[in-house]
Amino acid sequence: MPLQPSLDAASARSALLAVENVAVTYSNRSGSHEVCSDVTLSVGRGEALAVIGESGSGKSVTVLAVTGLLGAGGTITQGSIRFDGEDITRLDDRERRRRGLRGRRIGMIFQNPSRALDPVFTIGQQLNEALRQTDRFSQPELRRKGTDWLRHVGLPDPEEALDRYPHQLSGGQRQRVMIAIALASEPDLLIADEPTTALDVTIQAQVLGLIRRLQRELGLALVIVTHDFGVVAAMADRVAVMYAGQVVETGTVDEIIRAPRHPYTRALMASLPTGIPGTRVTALPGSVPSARSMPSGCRFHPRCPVAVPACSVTRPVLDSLSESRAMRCLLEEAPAS
Amino acid sequence: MRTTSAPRTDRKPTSSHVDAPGLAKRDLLCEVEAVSVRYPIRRGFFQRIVGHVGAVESATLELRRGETLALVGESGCGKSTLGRAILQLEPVAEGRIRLLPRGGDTPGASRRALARIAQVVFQDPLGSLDPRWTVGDLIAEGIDVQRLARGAERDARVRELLAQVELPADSFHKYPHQLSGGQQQRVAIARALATKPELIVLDEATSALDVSVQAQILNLLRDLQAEHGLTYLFISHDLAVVGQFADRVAVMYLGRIMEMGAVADVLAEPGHPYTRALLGSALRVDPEARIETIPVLTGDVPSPRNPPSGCRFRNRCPVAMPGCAALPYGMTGSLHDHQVAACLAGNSA
Repeated sequence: MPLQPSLDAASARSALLAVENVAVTYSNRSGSHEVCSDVTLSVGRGEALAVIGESGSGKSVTVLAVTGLLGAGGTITQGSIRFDGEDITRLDDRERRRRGLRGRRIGMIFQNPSRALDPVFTIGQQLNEALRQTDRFSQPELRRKGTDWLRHVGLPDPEEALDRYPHQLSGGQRQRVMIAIALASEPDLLIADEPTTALDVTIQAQVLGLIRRLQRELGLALVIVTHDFGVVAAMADRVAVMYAGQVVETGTVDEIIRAPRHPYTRALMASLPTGIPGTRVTALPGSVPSARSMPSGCRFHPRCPVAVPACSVTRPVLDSLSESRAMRCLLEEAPAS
Repeated sequence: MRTTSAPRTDRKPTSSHVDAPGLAKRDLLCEVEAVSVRYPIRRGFFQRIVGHVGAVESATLELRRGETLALVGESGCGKSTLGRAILQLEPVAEGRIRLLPRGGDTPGASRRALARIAQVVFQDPLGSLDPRWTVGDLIAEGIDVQRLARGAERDARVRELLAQVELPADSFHKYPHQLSGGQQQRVAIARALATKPELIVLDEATSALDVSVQAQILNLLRDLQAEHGLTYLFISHDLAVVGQFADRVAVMYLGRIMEMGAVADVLAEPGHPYTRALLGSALRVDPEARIETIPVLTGDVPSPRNPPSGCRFRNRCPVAMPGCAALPYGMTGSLHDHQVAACLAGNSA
C-alpha cells in the first residue's frame, strides 16, 4: 500500500480497475443465459466513471462480477478483470477476503441500505469491522474514529448514533451509515450501485455531494452505476452507456451529454422529460430485450431509428474513436443526424 | 374561468350545499376543503391508540375537469395519502371532499359508486395485478363488478381497451408476469379505464419505469386524456416529469400544501423557500450542473409524529428566522391562481 495517494502521471494514466471483454452467464435448470457480453470499462485513481443504462442492460451484473458477488449460477465465462495490476477474474471468496477485496480495498454501496446493514448489530459495531481492516485500534480509538466518520457523512448526534441499531435510523441516515462503513476502511475503489435511487431529492444532493467530496479528498476511484442522467451529469468524469449487456458508447461526461453519438444514447437522451409544459416526450419504442431472446447483429437494431439492413446481421464491435471515446455502431462511418 | 372564479373565492367552506354559479359547478370535478387525514399511533399489548400522526393537515385544493394536477413532494409529505383520501381509501378526520361527476349526483359513501367516477394506477404494476388472473379478466374486473357488460359484449369491450392502451390483442389470455414492466403498467391503465371514470389518480405511475418506457406511458396517458376528457391527479416526486406533464402543481411538505399554481408559474418562479429548495436540489442533465454547485439543505427531515411548530420547513429553511416557530399555517393568494403558504421571509409570488 502506498503511504499517500499521490497521483504521479504514470499511476493516474494506468487504470486501477480494468474490465476487459467480460461476459457473464447465469445458468439454472432451464438453461444458461449470457446477461453480459463483451463489457470493457476502466477507471483510474481519483476518477469517477458512471455506468448508465436501463434495467436489464447488465450494469449491476458488471459490478457484481467485479466484486465477486455474482451469486449462485453466475460465472464469468470470458474476459478479464484486473485490479491494481492483478488479475482478480476468478478468485474465490476466501482469496478475495485475504487480498482485502471485500471492503478494505474495494468498498461497495448498494441501493438498499436496509438489506446491506445487519439488523442485530449496532452501527458502531458494524463500523468497527471496517475500521479494524485498516489498523489495530483500541476501543476508545475505534469510538473516536467511528464518531468522526458519522460526522463526515452528516449524521446528527454521531456519538449517540454509534449505539443505535439500523432500524432506529431513517432511510437516508442508513444510506449515509453505509457510505461511512464503505469509506471507513479507506478503500482504493468505491463502487456505488444506484446509491441514491431510493432517496428524496434533497437527501440525494446531500449524499452525492458527500461521496464526491470524499472521493476527491481520498483520491478514490469511483464507479457509480445509475439509470439517471442527472446523477451522471453531477458526478461523472467519464461515462459508459450500456445496452442489453454491452457497452455501446463511452466518452467524457461532456461528450456523452452534449454530443451523444450512438443512436441508443441519442434516443435515451431524447426520451428524458424536458420539463417544458405541454410538450410530448420523444418516446423510444419497445423495451430492452431479455437475455433469453437477444436480437441478432446489433442488439439495438429492432428499436433503432436509423438501422439499416446490415444491422440485423453484423455484430458491431466497440471501436475506439479517440482517446476518451468509443462506440459500438455500424453506422459510425456515416453518422445520420 | 376568471369570471367564474371571483364569486367562488368568497364562498365559505360551510356553504358548500349552496349551489355555486352554474359554470363553476360544471368546471369542477373535485373539491378538497381543509382536509386532514390522521393515522393512529398504537402502542403496547392492547394496541391502544396513544396519539395521531397528521399525514395531511388542512389541505384545500380543487380539481378542474380535464386538467392534470400534480402533487409533488418528498416521501412522507402526504401526497399519496391525499390521493387515497380522494379515492375514499383513507378516512378523512376533518374537512370534506366532494366529487362533482358529470351525472350530477355526488356519490355517497359507497366505494362501488365511487369506482365509476375515480380510479387509480399505482407505482408497482406487478404488485397491483393478481398473478393468477389473465390480463383479460384483470381488465374486465371493473366491468364485471359494476355489471356494465356481459359475455361477448364484455370481451369486445376488453379488446377495445387493450387497443386503447396499445397492447397486442393476444395479451388477453396472458398472465401479468409474461409482460414487460411497461406492458404491465398499460394493463393497470386499461383496468382503470374500464369503468369509464372521470378521474384517475396516478400514484407514481411512471416512477418505476425506465426513461424510454416512461416516455411511452406519459404519451399514452396524454392521448387518453385528450380522447376521453380525463382528469388526472398525478402524484410524483419527479419535477422534470411534472413540469412537462401537468397543468397545475401542488407542492407538499410534511402534510401541508406549501405552494400551488400553474406548473409554469410554480416551477419558474417558486414563491416558497421549500419549493425553491426542492427545485434547487433536483439534478439536471447538464455537465455544468456538477454536484458541487447543488445547494444542500442542512438539518434532518423531521418526523411527521413530531413536526416543528409554526412553519414546518423552518428547521431546514435557509432563510428561517425566530418568528417562524410561531407562524400560523395558511395559504396566501387566490385558490384559482398562484398560492403560497405563509412565510415570514416574504413570498415572491
